[in-house]
Amino acid sequence: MRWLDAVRFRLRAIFRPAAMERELDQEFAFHLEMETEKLVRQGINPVAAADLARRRFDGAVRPRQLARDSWGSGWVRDFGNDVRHAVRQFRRRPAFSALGVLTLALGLGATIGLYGVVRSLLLRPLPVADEASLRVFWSDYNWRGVEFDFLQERTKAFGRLAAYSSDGVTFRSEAGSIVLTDGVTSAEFFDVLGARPLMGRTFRAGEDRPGTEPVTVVSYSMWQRELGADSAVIGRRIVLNGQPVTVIGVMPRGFFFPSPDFDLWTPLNLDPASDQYQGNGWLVLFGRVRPGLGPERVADDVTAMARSLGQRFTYPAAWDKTKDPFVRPVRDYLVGDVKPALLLLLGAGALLLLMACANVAALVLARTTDRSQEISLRAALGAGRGRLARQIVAESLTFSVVAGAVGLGIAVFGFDVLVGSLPLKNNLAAATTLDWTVYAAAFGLAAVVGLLVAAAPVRDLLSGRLHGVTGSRGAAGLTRGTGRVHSVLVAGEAGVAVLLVVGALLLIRSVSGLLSLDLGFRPAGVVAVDVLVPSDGFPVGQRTQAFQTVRDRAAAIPGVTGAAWIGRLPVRDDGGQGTVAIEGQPDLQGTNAPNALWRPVSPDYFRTLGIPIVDGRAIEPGDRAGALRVGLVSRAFAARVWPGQSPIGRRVRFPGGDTVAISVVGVAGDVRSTGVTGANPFVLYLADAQDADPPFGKALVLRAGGPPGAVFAAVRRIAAEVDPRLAIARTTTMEQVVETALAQPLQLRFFLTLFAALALVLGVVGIYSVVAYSVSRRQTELGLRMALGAAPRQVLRQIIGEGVAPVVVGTGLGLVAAVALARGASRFLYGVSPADPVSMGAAALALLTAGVAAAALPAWRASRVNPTESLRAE
Amino acid sequence: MGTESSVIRGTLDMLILKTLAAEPMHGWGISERIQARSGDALQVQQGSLYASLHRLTKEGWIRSSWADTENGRRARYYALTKAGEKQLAVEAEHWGRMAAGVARIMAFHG
Repeated sequence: MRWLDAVRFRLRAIFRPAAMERELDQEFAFHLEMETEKLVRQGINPVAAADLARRRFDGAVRPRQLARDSWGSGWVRDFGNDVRHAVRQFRRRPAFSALGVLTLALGLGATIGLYGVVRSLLLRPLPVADEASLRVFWSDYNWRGVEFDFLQERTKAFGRLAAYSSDGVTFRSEAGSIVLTDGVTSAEFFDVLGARPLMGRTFRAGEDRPGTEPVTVVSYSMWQRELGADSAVIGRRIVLNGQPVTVIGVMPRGFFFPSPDFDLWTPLNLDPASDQYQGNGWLVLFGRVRPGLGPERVADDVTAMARSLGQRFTYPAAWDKTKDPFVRPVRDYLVGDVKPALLLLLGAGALLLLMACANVAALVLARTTDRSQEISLRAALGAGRGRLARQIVAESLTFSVVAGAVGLGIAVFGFDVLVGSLPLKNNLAAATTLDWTVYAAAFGLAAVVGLLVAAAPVRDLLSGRLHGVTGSRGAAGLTRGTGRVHSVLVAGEAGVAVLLVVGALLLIRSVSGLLSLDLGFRPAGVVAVDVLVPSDGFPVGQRTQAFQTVRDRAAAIPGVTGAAWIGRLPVRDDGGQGTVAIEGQPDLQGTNAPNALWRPVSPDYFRTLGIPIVDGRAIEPGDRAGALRVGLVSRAFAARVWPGQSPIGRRVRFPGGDTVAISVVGVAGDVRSTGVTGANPFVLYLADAQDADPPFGKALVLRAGGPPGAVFAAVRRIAAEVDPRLAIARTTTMEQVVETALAQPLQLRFFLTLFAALALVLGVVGIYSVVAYSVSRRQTELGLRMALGAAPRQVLRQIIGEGVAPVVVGTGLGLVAAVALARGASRFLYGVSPADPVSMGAAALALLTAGVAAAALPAWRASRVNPTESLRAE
Repeated sequence: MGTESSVIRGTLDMLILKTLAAEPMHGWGISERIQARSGDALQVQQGSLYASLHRLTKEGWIRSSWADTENGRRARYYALTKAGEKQLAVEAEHWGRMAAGVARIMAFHG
């Protein structure tokens, strides 16, 4: 293995030079001993023999050098020397070095951190087999069991389909009742995902049908946290929703679907005989494309499946599932629309990094130019251009690698903050971590940055501009050459800074628009507590009674001025919708019935949230089971269905089996029910005491003056006292709910504002250092001109003008780029035009002001210089 | 070094390989053998010797290992590798042609 020996030798020469040297010493010592002995044998006295042997050995210096040269690792040693030299240089100019390292580190840190998020969410494989072939079907969260069965039989392009939904279940542990997130799945769920359990088994065919034993598969973290990592857990019974359920499997660490939030999975109870679901469905459907099928075949099959739905089911126009079917890649579905925002931020981070590079490049270039005499002297003494270029590269590499390490530190320590602040769906934050590729990318990027920064001075060196400098000021050409590079760098920085500042301003204006939107209720001072009862062992009457008691006692908490239940919290929760048939209006019935959100509420709901009653009355305590069934409609609902008339006394009906008509007794103001933006959906508010089958989970809203924490604690205590089986799912304030809904624009605003501020600082530093440098190079010329009668004011104006000129050019280019980019990013904007003149103007003004300020200080200093002094310095 | 001629530049590698073809040997031993076998006509520069040995190792033609000599001293022994044997054949053939050419020129009476 000739090459193997050779490689081993070279690696040792590079990595174990000390060992190589030591062996060389031993080898030489042995040689000298043998030679001395030989000479002694020839009759020479030992002392003289040793001396002669040493002389024959050329004093050992040259052989050592020759042997070392033969190792072929000289460049490594040179590089080491260069790095040491670079470190010495940095120590000599700590301010310069710290500034450069810090700017680079900020750019690198931002880029690395965001890359870590992008990698986790967009690049790292999901914990399922062959992710590329998994597709989620159209109609998010709205397939019914019968539709699932129907499509299962008709699909050709997909193997088997699987269905799941999510549910909160109560779990009795020693500590009390807690709420777990349960994936309610069809039997095929794990098989279609291609996921194998760590222990036990997953669901068998038929386990999602009526009449089977209740079973569950738990997640690794649930097994660790709640089941004590018991290795004999398979077959153990746990109590979910008040019912004993057998644990049949534990999933391996790292498995999650659809999100890390899910603690366990239980089979659906799909009963073709009963179709008790009146809404538009509750299941998510996904399937695996059969291997070898092109996208057209898949699209054809999906269209055929959608069309076939029409043979069996009739759909209202509001959600016709036979129309516009599509399938989404599973990652798209899980990660949601965070992708464009992430890429936007990553782009902004990269721009910031680019600016930092330009800054450091300008600094290094200035320094190299200052050292041109030293460099030409060294060149004259025989250092090759290649050697000198390597030295510059070593310097900037040392620089950028140190910056890379600092940047990595920033990224690692700031990562949790960054991830926590991203608007991630489904708690995907838990699956968002840094891994080795991020560390590798950090140093790879640092190396690239180092080479970029070295490019300009090395180019100057190799093109001979730094050569042949003879007189101390004979470098006019040199100044002009690097001056041009400097102007380009400053213009580029100004352009990037304008881009980032425009982006930040656009988002600031968007967010202030969003924050001033009328939500239709007053969120300040309102808190919400989600309460869940077990679905088993809690008959309707008992359930209604428990909810009623909790509300009444919560209303008596000191400081609480209003307390009410609602099925789904406004802004936060969607779902719970369906069609409403309008009595007396034949064209608003059947498939043309309008779609509305159904919201059962308790009396006092409207007053607690501050929702105005526009007409008629609110839900009252008298609206209980047995009394006239009543409801309120939202203002938009009333305007659409009874334009120009009073809706009071009109009657509406749910389609299907529930035939009792609902009399409209009032009109409530429009509320942002399912989000902050978009059109207001129609809402039908119902009296929850008249609900024949009330939901197991509801949100208790409370208007309270005091701190939310005290109210939450009080509600927890009350719930535990009323019935220990009641579990608190989550607690929040309505202000938090609104903020969460606005998380994406808020976070984008935060990061872009941060980046823009950094960009402005970098721009100021860049312009300052370039102008200061150019002034210092031209001290003599300026002194001469002032000696010849130029007024300091003239000099001042000229220097500022020259310094700001590239800023003006860069700002112009940056604005053009900003308009183009903002148009592509208009999805992040609300109520602001991408070419918003206010943002553009303010950004340009900010940059030009910063440019003038940055140039003014060195210019002012230059104009104050004593002409004779600067000439004497010559 | 007086009248002793030093090894012709470029042939030292071949002489080392040839010496090691007989048996593994340490640096001093190699230089002694070349000197002895050439009838003291060739003297090896110690500096070039070790540079050459390390270069040959880097090329993979010889390999080295530490071993005890007959009188119990630690020494680095060099040994010919398979690739080294081939290289020796190539260099010997090349040398043969060159020596013959040089001899023909010197024999030319013009």
